[in-house]
Amino acid sequence: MGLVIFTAWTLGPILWAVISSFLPQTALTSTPPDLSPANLTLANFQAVLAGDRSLVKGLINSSIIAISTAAVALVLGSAAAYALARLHVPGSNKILLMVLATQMFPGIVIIIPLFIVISRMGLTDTYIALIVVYLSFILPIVIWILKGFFEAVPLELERAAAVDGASVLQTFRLIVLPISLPALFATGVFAFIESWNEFFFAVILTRINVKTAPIAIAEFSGQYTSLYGQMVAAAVLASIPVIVLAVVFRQYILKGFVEGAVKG
Amino acid sequence: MADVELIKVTKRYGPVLACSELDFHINDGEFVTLLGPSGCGKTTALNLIAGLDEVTSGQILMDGSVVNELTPFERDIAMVFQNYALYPHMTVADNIGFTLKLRKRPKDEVRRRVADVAEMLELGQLLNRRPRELSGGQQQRVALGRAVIREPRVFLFDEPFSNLDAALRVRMRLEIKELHQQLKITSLFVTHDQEEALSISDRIAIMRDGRIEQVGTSEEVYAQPVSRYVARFIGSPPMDILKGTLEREAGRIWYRVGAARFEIPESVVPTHAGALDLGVRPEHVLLGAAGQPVTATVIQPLGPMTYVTVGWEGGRLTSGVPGMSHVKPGDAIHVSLAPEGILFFDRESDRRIATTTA
Repeated sequence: MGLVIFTAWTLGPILWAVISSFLPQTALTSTPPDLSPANLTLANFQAVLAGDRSLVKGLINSSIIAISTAAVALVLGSAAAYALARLHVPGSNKILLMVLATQMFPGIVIIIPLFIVISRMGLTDTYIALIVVYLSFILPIVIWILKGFFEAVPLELERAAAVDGASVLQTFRLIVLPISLPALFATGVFAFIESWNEFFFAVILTRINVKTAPIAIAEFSGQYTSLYGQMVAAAVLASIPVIVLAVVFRQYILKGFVEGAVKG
Repeated sequence: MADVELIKVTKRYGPVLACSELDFHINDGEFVTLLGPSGCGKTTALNLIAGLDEVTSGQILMDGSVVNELTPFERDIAMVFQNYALYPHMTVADNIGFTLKLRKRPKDEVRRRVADVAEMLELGQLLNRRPRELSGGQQQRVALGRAVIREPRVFLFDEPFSNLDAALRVRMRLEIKELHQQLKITSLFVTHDQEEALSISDRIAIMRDGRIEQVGTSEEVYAQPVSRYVARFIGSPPMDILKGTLEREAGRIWYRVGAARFEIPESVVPTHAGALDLGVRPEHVLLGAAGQPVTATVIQPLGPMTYVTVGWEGGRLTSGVPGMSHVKPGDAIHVSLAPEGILFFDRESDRRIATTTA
């Protein structure tokens, strides 16, 4: 029963968003909303995909930023996580704590100094600014998750590789990384979704060129009118990559998080 | 092939002394076993020799040169791990050939040598399988193959059979022994299973609390243990230890335990002042018409051997009788001790006290 309520609570708004994305503005704003099937239309989707194409641009920008962030996070994060998990890094505990400490500041605390730094560097409204900022909060989590996975790789495997003549780098590349592929996928998807959905930093640090999808969606709500139908249609479109990723890698994510939870 | 020498090898983990001043020598081509209960430091010793762990002090030599600073690869050792440590994402062929690939050997050479090793270990049909598709025994043989293909100077085995069932363990014992006789590569084997150690080793080093208690052939450690610890650890069922006193009466010598006493020939009695424990193995506890009257309590028929445990007020002993026994629990019988099987241990120090026959 609790599960039913919880599911309804979680899925209700999503279902409502999907339904309303197929309804015209008039049907949505009437009280009560007119849900008759005759009203169903694709007009909202056509409008958001045509128009000034800001959503399409937003989706492209979001893809570039989210894929870059995930890729860089995996490359840097896996190397750092392996070093912290297995090599004798002096002060590794302190490093790990500091990595975690970066998570303790709410975005609102750092946004103003961050904005000033980025605008002084002339990086406002650039991909690089958002990617670097996203990495700053995604990378620590990636390091912690991957460290858990790497610690779960049996030590004997690495010892066997050492006996077979593999260097530390070869062991990492030929043994540890291939074994950890599910974990890397899961962590990559996590990093992608985090940056795909991010709104707060994006709204402050972008102007026109690199507006991400969440900003484009928000802009359907104007000063005088809010185009609810188009807004939810855009939101539904923007959710599709996340849902596809979640479904495709569902078993990886589940397996990943469970394993990480046990060992990490 | 190489001989291996340990000189005062010590390993500390913080305050814990895992290995303390290990001194021993493995001859070229010899098969030596490190035997001891879990936590006695035998796996640590193996890792030190392998180069997977650094010694705190002391020296490890191979063929006369110090290898302390060398990596496992540079020491040219091969190791078989307790959980096999097969690379799960590689096929059997890739697992066995991994080390050659790392050395950038030509592809056909790798293929040929993998095929040779696979044939020797009867893995020919399995080369394209992944480790998880193999049985425990097959995985074990892949792990052996990975070690054999190296043609290393020294083989190291870390309890390689402990995950196998009893029947397979006995078979793998035979295979390892055959392999060793065929390749004659210096081997160091770690196990906590005394029967395994006795059956495959040229010599056994018995460890206790990070130290080597005794090194010797199977016969030596079995028949002439240096201490009560070794005596109890080797042999199954274990040697009985009686805690009694020596008595002299009318020129004869007796060992009294509770209400029973056993006659001891003068020749095996040590000239030792302290309190002595008497140790005797089941095959030296003789059942018969003469000797100390006792009562049979438990009968364990094992086929080739039957173990008859006898008791009296204040003590008990187990006798090993060849074949089947007609003795039943509750039967009144007599036991005596075979003089050649009587060992004395100092009750304080645990050491065996040598007698004229030993």
